[in-house]
Amino acid sequence: MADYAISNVPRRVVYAASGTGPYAFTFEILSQTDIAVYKASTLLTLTTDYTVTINANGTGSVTLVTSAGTSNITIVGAKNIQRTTDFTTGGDLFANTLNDELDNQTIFIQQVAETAERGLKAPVVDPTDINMTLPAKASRVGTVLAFNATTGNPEAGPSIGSVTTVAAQSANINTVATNIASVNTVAGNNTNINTVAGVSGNVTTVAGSISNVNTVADDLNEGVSEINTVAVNIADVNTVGTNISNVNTVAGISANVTSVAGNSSNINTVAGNNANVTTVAGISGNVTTVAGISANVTTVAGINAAVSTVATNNANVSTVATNIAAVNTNATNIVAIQNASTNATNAATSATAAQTAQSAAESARDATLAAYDNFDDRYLGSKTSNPSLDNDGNALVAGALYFNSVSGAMQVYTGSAWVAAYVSGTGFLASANNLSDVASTSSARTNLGLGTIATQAASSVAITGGSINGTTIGASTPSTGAFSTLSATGVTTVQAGSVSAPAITTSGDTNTGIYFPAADTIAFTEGGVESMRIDSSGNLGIGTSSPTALLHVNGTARATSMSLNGVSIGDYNLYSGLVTRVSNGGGIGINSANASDNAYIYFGSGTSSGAQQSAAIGRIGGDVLAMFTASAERMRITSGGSVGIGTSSPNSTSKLHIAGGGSGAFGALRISDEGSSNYWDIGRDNNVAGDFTIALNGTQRAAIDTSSNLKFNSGYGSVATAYGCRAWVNFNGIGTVSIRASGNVSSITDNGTGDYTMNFTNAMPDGNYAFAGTAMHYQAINDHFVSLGDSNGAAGTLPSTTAVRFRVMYNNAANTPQDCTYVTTMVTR
Amino acid sequence: MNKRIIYPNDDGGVSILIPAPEARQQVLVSEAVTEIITHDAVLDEDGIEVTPAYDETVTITPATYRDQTDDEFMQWIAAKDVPAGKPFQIVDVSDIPSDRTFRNAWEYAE
Repeated sequence: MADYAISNVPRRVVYAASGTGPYAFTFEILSQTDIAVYKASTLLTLTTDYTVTINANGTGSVTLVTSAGTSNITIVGAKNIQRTTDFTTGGDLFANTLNDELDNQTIFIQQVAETAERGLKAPVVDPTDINMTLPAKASRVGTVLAFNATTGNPEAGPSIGSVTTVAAQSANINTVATNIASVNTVAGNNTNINTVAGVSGNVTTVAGSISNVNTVADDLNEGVSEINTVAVNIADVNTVGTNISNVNTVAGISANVTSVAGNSSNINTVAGNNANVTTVAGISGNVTTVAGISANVTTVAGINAAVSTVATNNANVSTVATNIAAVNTNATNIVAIQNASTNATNAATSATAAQTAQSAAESARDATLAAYDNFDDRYLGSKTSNPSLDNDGNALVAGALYFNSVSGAMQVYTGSAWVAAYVSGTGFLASANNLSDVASTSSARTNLGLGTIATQAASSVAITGGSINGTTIGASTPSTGAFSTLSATGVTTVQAGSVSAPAITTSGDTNTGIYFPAADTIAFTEGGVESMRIDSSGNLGIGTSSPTALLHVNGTARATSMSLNGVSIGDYNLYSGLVTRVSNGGGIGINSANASDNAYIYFGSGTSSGAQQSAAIGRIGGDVLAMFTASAERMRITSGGSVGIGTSSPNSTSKLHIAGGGSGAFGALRISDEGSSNYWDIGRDNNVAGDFTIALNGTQRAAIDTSSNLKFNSGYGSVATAYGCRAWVNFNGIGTVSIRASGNVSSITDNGTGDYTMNFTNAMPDGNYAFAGTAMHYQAINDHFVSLGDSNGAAGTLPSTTAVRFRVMYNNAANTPQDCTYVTTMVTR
Repeated sequence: MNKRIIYPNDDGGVSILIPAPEARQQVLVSEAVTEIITHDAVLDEDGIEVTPAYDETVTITPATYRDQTDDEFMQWIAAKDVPAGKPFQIVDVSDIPSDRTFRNAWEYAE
């Protein structure tokens, strides 16, 4: 009895020749005669041609007696389909017999299925009414198999003879197929072809003039020859194409190229003097030296004629050199002569200056005489009578003066007559006499309207009767006017007045003003109603007649600024103290006048200084907001927006920095459940330095230790290290290999069939990690597995920190590598 | 990613690197601009130091990054995952046969 299952695998396998084998088969058999072995198409005989080995699981292999040579070896299930058992009513029914029979039945079915797979069959998706029965023999003899154009059912096709005839023309058919484009072109030009056929006479005429046509063709060929020339020189054209950037560069400086071409004669000249250029190049140092004194060279060039003259007179120069002493003597004499010439020049210059001074003096003299004449024309001096002409005998000018020695008076000429130049002071009051020289004192007083006031002492003038500006002096009310101003150097006393008739008021509004309601009390009334008073205690009441403090406002008060106990309270623009702001949304604040000063709001109780300031909020050290309790800083927000709790220097790249642990075992941050007693502590582990922890109700639930191990209590019963997947990938290994998704994998290396390498983005700490993988080809189950190593099945490459190589294997007897549609791998450490 | 990297392997065949899209890295575009602000010590009304002086580093402009371009990404993969000393080529996916019947017979051509 077979004690193994009959697997669902095809009962046929074909191998390429491999000597005598063995050739494995993966389907189970019960006996050696359950298979047939073919070498190519020849059925072999058991024992004579081959032997069969059956494994414990029913699979096995075939070993040939002689080599297969180059022929394929086919192993196929060939168990005789027959029933060898018979269960009779009331007879024995043994399990092993029944099991063998069921195995036989399964093998029979698999053999039939395998045979059916090799037969013609319609697709499973065909309509259900198809009939794949072949035509009757009489109908199909000598024909090819065909399928009905409508039903798709088999039917007799054309005779084999017809097909053979067509096949014999296959070369022509292929030729036509190859030239099908030309055939289609000809077909498309059917109309034109018919037209040409209709003018065949003209075609004949053209044929008769073929020499002319050839002449034209020859001209065309000349164009072709030029094209051929280009083709022959295509290498040069390509060279130009390769260097097109240089060509473009030259094109971009075409103006320069043109200039150079325009100077080709100069260039040729330079080329013709190449030897000289070379010589100059050889003395480049001298050239540089000359260039450095180019100014001197230019100067010498400018006196080229003189230099030439000197050169011509070289003999004279020599003579002068020989007689240089005499030349020097003469030179000294020449200097003396030159000095004399200079002196003569200076003397001439002095003479010219003297002449100029003389002319200036004469001009000044003439001007003085003209001024004197002008004066003489206006003051004529002493005369005995009115002159009719001036002292020069000219007509008089208006404003002229003379002294009449007869009358003793100055006379002035008006332009038409002489009149007295001044009047006599006889009979005038003299200031030195202080009015004592008036003719009648009494008449003068009367004429001035002063009466007796003029005779009273200035310190005690009394006015009796009369009025001032229409108001009778001594009257109680003004009559026709009022003083515009009134001042007094002494005390001015008025009546007490009342709220409706104040003592000091204004005309037209006599119920508004100031009055004195009681002793030592001043009150202000408006429209007969008191609005403000200062009582005998010095209290100022506004809106109240009985103030109880120095300032008592019975109503709304408003001030631009004020001070409380030395602290300024006022507008935002005061910048210092308690300030308010009504613009930009309004607000109240505490400002320090200096940027370096701090500003606090204190909270406290009690009477001691420390108790009053035990808690505070303040701006300190610049734009830093800090909170204090028990006179110590507890929290701050830096100018950069970082919040620090328990630290005065929170990390600037963090928004919240909590320093220090809580007073309990776990964490500085506690989050509690509203409405229940549950709470979570998050932060450092106060029992283990450096550990980060999460605790629930005081019991640790998770932690990250200083070795970066993540620990949590998830079914362990206590917090323990959890090991994570450090890399994973899911990819398709067939067709164009592609990655569906991945983590910490930079790439997959496709090394061959079923042979891959998983490359890590971030390296593993070592190669001692756990690797796992699965593979599935389409939807087959349990057909494949993943193992470490390379595709050769050797020891394979060991996992490294950067990559791991693995194989996807087909789960058959040979465990051959295979590509699969789904491959997933992961690494745990 | 329609690119692959090919290189000859030690078995005489050719290995093909398939980049993982999730592995594309970021490239620094501009460094962060920071400023150090020095804070003076804070004293209470009695002149006792409440907070010591300290320096605060404030980020004015954070660093900016961008994704690697396709070329940068492929070069990065090649530098990391192609075995040292191996020649390689970056090719289009379409240049690699999709019929893998004779995958192990593929050879690397310069």
